[in-house]
Amino acid sequence: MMKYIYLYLFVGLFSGIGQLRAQPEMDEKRLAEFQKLTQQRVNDLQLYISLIADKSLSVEQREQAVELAVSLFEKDYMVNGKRHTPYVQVSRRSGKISSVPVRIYFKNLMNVKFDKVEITYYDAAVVSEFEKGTDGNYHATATYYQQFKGMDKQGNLLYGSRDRKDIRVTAQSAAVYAQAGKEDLKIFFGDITVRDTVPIPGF
Amino acid sequence: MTRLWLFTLLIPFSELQAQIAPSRTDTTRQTGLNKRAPESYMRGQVKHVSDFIDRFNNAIKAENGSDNTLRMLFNEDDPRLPGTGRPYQPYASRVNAFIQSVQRGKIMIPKRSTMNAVIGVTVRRDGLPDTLKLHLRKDYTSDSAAYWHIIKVVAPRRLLEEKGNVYKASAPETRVELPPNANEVSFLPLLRGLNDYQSLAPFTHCLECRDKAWQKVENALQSGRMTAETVVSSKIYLTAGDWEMELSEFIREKENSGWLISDLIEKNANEK
Repeated sequence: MMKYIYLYLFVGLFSGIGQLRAQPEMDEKRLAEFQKLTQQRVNDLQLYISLIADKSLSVEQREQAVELAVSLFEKDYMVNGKRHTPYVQVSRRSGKISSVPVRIYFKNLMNVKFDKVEITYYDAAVVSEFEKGTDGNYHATATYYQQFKGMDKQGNLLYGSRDRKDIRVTAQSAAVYAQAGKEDLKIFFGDITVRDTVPIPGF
Repeated sequence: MTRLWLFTLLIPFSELQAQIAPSRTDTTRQTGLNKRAPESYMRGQVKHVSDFIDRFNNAIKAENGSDNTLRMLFNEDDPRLPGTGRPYQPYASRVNAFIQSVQRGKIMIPKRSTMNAVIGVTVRRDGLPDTLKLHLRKDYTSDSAAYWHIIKVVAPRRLLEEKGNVYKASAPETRVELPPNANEVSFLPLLRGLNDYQSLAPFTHCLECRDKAWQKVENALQSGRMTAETVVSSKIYLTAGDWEMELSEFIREKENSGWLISDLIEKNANEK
């Protein structure tokens, strides 16, 4: 009986392979274009995060930025035949690891206790090469660096850190050119790992 | 007069409406992105394994290039490498021999070569933390899809020493944490699978890999006594000619950081 269960699981694990034939095959040039597109998406995400944290904007505008940021992520994705929601995992230098769903993470960012938040990005976003997975999608990792400063009303720094963020990127087949009868890939973000939380020197 | 009151009541809502739905372009225009030039370590950091392969191959391709580019791919903080106040170590000679060998042979690393990894997974067994070590190999299907599979299991010692029957426990609801750089090395489906299936079997294809240690861990997973929590360490092994490079990830704010060579293994060293 156990053998059959293993066989079933093995077949289930690679059930995506059959779907691969239905996926559009991507040549290196096309995948390189998707790397560029991913960088643009990262840029969008950075903008939305800045808007979410900007306390000078109205709550409605910031909530809309939350929705726009969430829309960049996969709603739910399948791993091992089960549904998972994208999470943000924060690894502290102390070894403490915490994780929350992306929507909660952005909502928490809206409600940080600081009077003013300043988020700075570095022109160093890099996307790894896309690689085909057994689920039939193409996967890559986008990496960028972010500096976060939380201040009081007088502009005094209360908290500051610099993080490295790695985002799981999935290029899923989608009939984006359905009218032309063509399929192409669509970029979605998955889980984010936030690492390397370094206190800002002098703080 | 009644109509005037009604009109007055509507005034604040008209303002709200204007705020609720600014278009995407409006939102973009209101606040710009605060960006600055990257710090040198951000450029220097080897962020992904594919980045390491690119840098390695470019160093080999470079004509008249010095061996400095290759040396920069080693962890410079390794006490076995030459440095101020460091005594000579045989590892330094091995590094020199490796650099000479790959440069002379113009040996490059194929992007889609078979790759090995050893990862440490923190597990909770009967409520107590422990570490499980998995040896993995990256292979490709006929449709060129990449996947990692288990080739060896190093069970926690206490589990191996355990005798007697295992009892069935109810599996607690746990969330598997993401390993560092899980995305690129694609350990994520594997890690989550350990909890989703409560089994190593879907990720172990070779029957000979299912030894005693594997069976012990498998039983513990199936009974719900063991649950995987997070990947705490990962080492990647790449082959370049007769050498195997061990890569580890060094997260620090200096140029020599990211995925770097932490050890070298000469494959035919014993035969020489």
